Amino acid sequence: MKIGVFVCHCGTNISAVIDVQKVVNDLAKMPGVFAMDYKFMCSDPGQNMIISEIKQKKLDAVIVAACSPCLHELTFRNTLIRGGLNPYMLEIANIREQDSWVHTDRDKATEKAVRLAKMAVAKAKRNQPLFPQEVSVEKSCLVIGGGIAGIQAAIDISSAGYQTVIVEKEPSIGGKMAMFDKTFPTLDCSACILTPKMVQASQSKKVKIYTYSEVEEIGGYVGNFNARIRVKARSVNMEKCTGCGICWQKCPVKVNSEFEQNLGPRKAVYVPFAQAVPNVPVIDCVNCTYYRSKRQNPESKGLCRICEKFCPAGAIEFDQKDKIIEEKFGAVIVATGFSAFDHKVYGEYGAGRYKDVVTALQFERLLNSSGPTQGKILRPSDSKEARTIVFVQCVGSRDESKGVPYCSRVCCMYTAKQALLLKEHIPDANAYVFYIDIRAAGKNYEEFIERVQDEYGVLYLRGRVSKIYRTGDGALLVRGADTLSGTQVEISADMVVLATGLVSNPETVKLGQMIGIPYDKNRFFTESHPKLAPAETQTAGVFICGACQFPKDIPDSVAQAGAAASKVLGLFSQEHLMLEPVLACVNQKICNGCFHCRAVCPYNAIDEEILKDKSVVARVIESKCHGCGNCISACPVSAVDLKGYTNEQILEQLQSLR
Amino acid sequence: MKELIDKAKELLKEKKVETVIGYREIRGCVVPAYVDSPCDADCLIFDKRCVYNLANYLKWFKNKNVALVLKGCDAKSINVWLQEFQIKRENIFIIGVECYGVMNEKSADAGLSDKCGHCEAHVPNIYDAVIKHQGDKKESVQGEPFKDIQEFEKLPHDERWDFWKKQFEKCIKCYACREICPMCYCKECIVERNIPQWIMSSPSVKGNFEWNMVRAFHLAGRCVECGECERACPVNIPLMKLNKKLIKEMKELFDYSAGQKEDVKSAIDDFYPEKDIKIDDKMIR
Amino acid sequence: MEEKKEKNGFEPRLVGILCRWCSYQGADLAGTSRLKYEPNMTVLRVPCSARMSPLFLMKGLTSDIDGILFSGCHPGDCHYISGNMNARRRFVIFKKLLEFAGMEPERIQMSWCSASEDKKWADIVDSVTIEVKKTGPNNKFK
Repeated sequence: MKIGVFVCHCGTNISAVIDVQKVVNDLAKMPGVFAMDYKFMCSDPGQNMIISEIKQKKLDAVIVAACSPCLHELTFRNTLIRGGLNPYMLEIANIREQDSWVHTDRDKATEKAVRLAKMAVAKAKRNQPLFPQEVSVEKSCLVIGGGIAGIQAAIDISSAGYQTVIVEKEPSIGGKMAMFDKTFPTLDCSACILTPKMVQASQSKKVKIYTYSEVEEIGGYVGNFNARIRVKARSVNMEKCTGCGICWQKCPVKVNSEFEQNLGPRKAVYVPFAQAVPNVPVIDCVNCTYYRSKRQNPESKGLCRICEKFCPAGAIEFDQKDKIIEEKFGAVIVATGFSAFDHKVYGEYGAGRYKDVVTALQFERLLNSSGPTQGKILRPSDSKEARTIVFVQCVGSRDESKGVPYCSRVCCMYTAKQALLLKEHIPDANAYVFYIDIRAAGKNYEEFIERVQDEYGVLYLRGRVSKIYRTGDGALLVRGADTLSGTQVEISADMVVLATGLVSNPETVKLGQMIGIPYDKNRFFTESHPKLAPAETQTAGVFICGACQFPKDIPDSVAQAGAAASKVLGLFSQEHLMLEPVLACVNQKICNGCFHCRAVCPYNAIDEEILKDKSVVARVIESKCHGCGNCISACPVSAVDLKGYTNEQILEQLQSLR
Repeated sequence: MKELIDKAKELLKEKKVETVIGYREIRGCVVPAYVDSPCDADCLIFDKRCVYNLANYLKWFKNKNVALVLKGCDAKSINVWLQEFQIKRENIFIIGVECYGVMNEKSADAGLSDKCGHCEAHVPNIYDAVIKHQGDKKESVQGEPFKDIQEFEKLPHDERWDFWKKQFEKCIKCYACREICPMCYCKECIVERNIPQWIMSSPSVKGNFEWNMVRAFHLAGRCVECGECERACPVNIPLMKLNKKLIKEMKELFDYSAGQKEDVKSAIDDFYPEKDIKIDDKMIR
Repeated sequence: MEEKKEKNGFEPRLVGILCRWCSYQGADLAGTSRLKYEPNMTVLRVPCSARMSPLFLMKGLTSDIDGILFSGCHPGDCHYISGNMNARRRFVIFKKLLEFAGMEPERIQMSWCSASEDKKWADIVDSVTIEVKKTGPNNKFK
């Protein structure tokens, strides 16, 4: 077997620390090994060089000693195909990410590079050509989350002619964007640009929307996911309901509206907001008088039932049950969005005790003309008009001790927008903004901030707020530092708006574990590559977009949604998919049929087979196998092995280090 | 004894089984007996000298109807066999024998075997018929069952290594431990394969270490403590010390003992996310 | 070469077997973040910690490797649902056995390291290297 080792300099990324020539010389001493180096192996000339060497030297396997296999394994596999070799005859020795970038001692790093390359040679000697298995693609996409990112992705996919399903846990799609008043920097009305999208999605024949629903389980693999969706009981018949609104007008139960951020009321039967899609109410079982009476006395007929009495369509169905829907999908887009940071941890801002210290999202509702105050900026405590407002930025963001370490990216901009809107509502109002830095990187963003400061006279103070007090007359005394003038400032304000940061959705971990996509230490989903694959995940066929990946503004969310959609369309344009051939296989001659493999297999991919001599042995169902190798470690006789990572290969690798 | 013989005769007469595997005496020695016809059943005995675990003979009777005479410890092996789908329960008839200890074959002073010291299975936990014990029912020695293991664990690692190195040096790779073990039923043992070569075949320090580690590990959660390997070892390697260590760890870490039930997952294939998390602090970074 | 090694003291040969989804990516991230750590560990990539047969530990030690590390995703984060749960039990039992037979515990290690824990990865390699350096070379099977 002849093996070619190609060592990459990666410019100076590798060669600055590793003596590439020595690696080449050491490797070339191994029997049957040919070695050479090049400045950029992944470049066209680099790849062509590999191809010509494969042909000239009649190589059987190729080692590329370069960057991480996560980056260029696919690139070089294709190079091997072009050179006429099976792509799985490639091994990568990672001498950049795990060598030259993490070590400084030239000798030791070079020695390690030689070890890594020799290990790859040891494995490659036992490589076998592998052939991908072909599977069909279910051309339907599941979108989890019906915010702007999910809606955009669904519209894009459906407009290409493929079936899409949106699963949204709230009673209406729209997400956080539906709560906003205006959008920066153009000051378009948020609802005016969102609602047409919501309607477009709901009217598309190719989009199915399950609101008030949750994905309970996802199994399968790219092209063939199986999802179980729980459609929670709305207690209202979606087909019969006309959305006339009589039920919620008549309902006698008033509770705080989640949509209005607890600043306004809603009824026990409600649509979260006027433009909700679908425009069908749900009954909140926790607060509804009927359900409460039923819980106390299951035998009774139940109290109230006013909505039922008045509904002209007879759509109220108190005995509705949750519905479980099982569907097959070829791809999944996760667009579960974010949550606002809970500012209760900040004692200095009142820890949520002061009614007039509101979050940015609450202020957004106060600004909104369809909000609880019809767009008048009234203090929540006494409904007086607020004339002096202090905005505090970085609440939770960039604070490792109490909040999150990262910058939430949008708070500078929305604070400027809110200050501007305040000035438009009440021209002689006073607006102060406490900030650490102003981050306005975006098209027309910096100009917007400047307009807010110069044209609207919003006063920006660089510094942190150290304490907010309540004074006797109901006003709030904000004490902070102005680090630019080096003075302490005290401002008597009617209201304080906290620019709460964006944090991950509480369900991220559960969902990530269910679908099998990783999340980072801040619990945002991890993209497959931070630069080159921002909408993909490690799991083939699962894509991410919007703020579930990281805080981002609306244009970025929409752009990423489009990216995710285009990846899905790329997938759906194929009739068949090629699946990784890294699969388990059983040597039935020596299999004992003890089925320890079946006991550990997480995918039920092991089946029984009866041989001619009537002995029962294990068989791998290839379409179900994910190639994790659990069965191999469980098998006492090594009758199961994993193609591409065989026991023999790993043992050779271990022994190559002698 | 009559009870046992009658049961064997009945089973053979009614053709419920083809063979009864039990114990008999030849020239003062107890040996295994295959009894195929009722008239031969009179030779069957059971007493203190019946040390062997007859479950091992199932290796040659996998798909046949047989009856086995099994002590409490031996019967546990049947549960493991059933757990691992090696036999069908309806194919075998278990004549359980109540047992209060068998003799120590290796020492002359006729004391009880080491394995009986902390026996909790005087009556088998799986059987079709039980032969009652006659004579005095002497309870086993109470106290810490893993005392010797705990003491050995306390030794510094180099002393432990020196001990085992000396023991393993004696190993001649005759594989008697494997042949006698009812759990070693593989069609082809991995020691006999060279692709992949898990175990170096030569009886060197390395080869012997590898063999003994693999043998012990493959019994994790499966060894029923019948003690046959140690008894069969011609060079007296204390194999049960390794097995007992794993029995102790399975019990302490996963609260699992081998061969208690036929329809549970073996602890080595199983996991409990909440309980297992306790392991992490000490063992995993 | 030999002389140099003598002078600089003992440089252990370590192997890390890493799952490709979490630990290997964490190690890559340590590179991208340009963290610095000891160069003694050579890394081998497998799909999942469940692929790490405990017998690899034994084979590593009998192949005169001074220390061997298994590393996978944190419990609950396994790309293959529950692979690391099975791996954990197998590892722990086999480590106990090897220690009982006289192997130094420092030579047999396992860690959970996620794709975002670059710092943790660097710390793991450094501390395993230091521990094995203290323990000394593995001469048992020479």
